[in-house]
Amino acid sequence: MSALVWLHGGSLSCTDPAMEANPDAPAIFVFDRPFLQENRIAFARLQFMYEGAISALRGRAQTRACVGVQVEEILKFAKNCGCTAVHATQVYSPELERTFDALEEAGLEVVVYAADRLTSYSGSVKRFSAFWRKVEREVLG
Amino acid sequence: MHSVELETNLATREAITEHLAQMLEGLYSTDAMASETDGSREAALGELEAFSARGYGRRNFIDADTSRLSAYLRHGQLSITEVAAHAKQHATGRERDEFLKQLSWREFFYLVMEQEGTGTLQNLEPPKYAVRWQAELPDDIRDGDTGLPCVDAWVERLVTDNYLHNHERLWFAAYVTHFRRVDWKAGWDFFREHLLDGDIASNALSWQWVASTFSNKPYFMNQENIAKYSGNRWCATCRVACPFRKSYETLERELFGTTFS
Ligand SMILES: Cc1cc2nc3c(=O)[nH]c(=O)nc-3n(C[C@H](O)[C@H](O)[C@H](O)COP(=O)(O)OP(=O)(O)OC[C@H]3O[C@@H](n4cnc5c(N)ncnc54)[C@H](O)[C@@H]3O)c2cc1C
Repeated sequence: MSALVWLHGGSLSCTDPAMEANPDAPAIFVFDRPFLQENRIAFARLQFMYEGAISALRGRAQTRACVGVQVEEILKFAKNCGCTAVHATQVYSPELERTFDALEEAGLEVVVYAADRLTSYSGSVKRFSAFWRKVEREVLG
Repeated sequence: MHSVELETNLATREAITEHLAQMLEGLYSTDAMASETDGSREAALGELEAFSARGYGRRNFIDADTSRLSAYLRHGQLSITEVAAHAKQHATGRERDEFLKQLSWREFFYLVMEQEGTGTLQNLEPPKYAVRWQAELPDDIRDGDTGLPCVDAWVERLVTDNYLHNHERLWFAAYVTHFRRVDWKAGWDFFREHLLDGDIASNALSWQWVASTFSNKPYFMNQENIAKYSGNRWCATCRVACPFRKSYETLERELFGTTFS
């Protein structure tokens, strides 16, 4: 099963877990046109992200950076590369979840990597002070 | 909807600006100006190397040398464990611990977001005072034209540096939500538009923390607090009728109709 890596706005590095797990895989970054049409985003933010994306893509044989409908562009790229799976790192956001669902519905396997964590805490969270009491030793250790 | 291919081997930041200005035309809300901060992993590593946490004990003062790593953490150029490992290696004592504790706020907010999902963008709790917030950010705030030198300076910095110190963020959020009665979601959206580190978790949840929909009481400041942590930057020469120049007790009564202490 051949994989491609999708670099999203929370994973713009060659050290991203999905990138590191697939060092030779094709990789893609997409500016999502509908999102940018609906939301006000300053140019400086877009350039900052793009600089992250191209530095992450550098050195890979097959890469693509484009502007379009995110899901459609990932599907197109997968078809061109003969990939049947998309690998990406989990950073919770509603848009990311929708993209994962849409890619799966379109028939691609979606493999999600856990984002890097500072602590191993897995209980519920409500106030920082209570959280800090539980993780302080681990964080400062 | 058509798609556009982007160049990935542009040699300079200026070339990137020029290319993106064209290719993304109509898709950004400001002039096509890059920030001073380079978004590459290489630049991120340079910033990390340069950070020693020396002076971090003064982190609440707006001229303190905080790490300025938030945008790299937000977009993944640096990972949180990488930053924590650097601090453990290069910082010592109280400064080291204080920095690692601040980093834990980020982890906390991301865990809350994972737990609450899209609820993060709604009031997580009822506000702790009786208030009707207006939905839209008024133009005078968005344009940095309130007439209050400090507030207008925060907007100017937000829009030109794409960054604000944590204390400036807190003050601005308190001004917007409590003094102007604007829904925190409008403030969140304004920050997301401009901050290089603008995200959902730390951004929305900090606004909610100020607004009191994710805390036990609203956060607010008075003029003395602004003067102290800004080194009197605006207050020394300010001649306007200052809405913040009151005791905490008076402000509490005026803003919230109740006291929380
Ligand atoms: C209203 C409001 C909105 C905010 N919006 C964002 C946002 O969109 N994105 C964002 O990353 N931070 C946000 N913050 C948190 C904080 O202001 C910034 O992370 C910090 O100012 C970044 O500067 P620094 O990198 O020099 O921080 P440092 O003091 O050097 O801290 C190191 C790192 O720890 C994390 N951190 C530090 N303080 C906090 C905090 N209070 N909450 C969460 N993480 C923290 C950041 O990742 C930061 O880079 C917001 C705070 C407020 C009050």
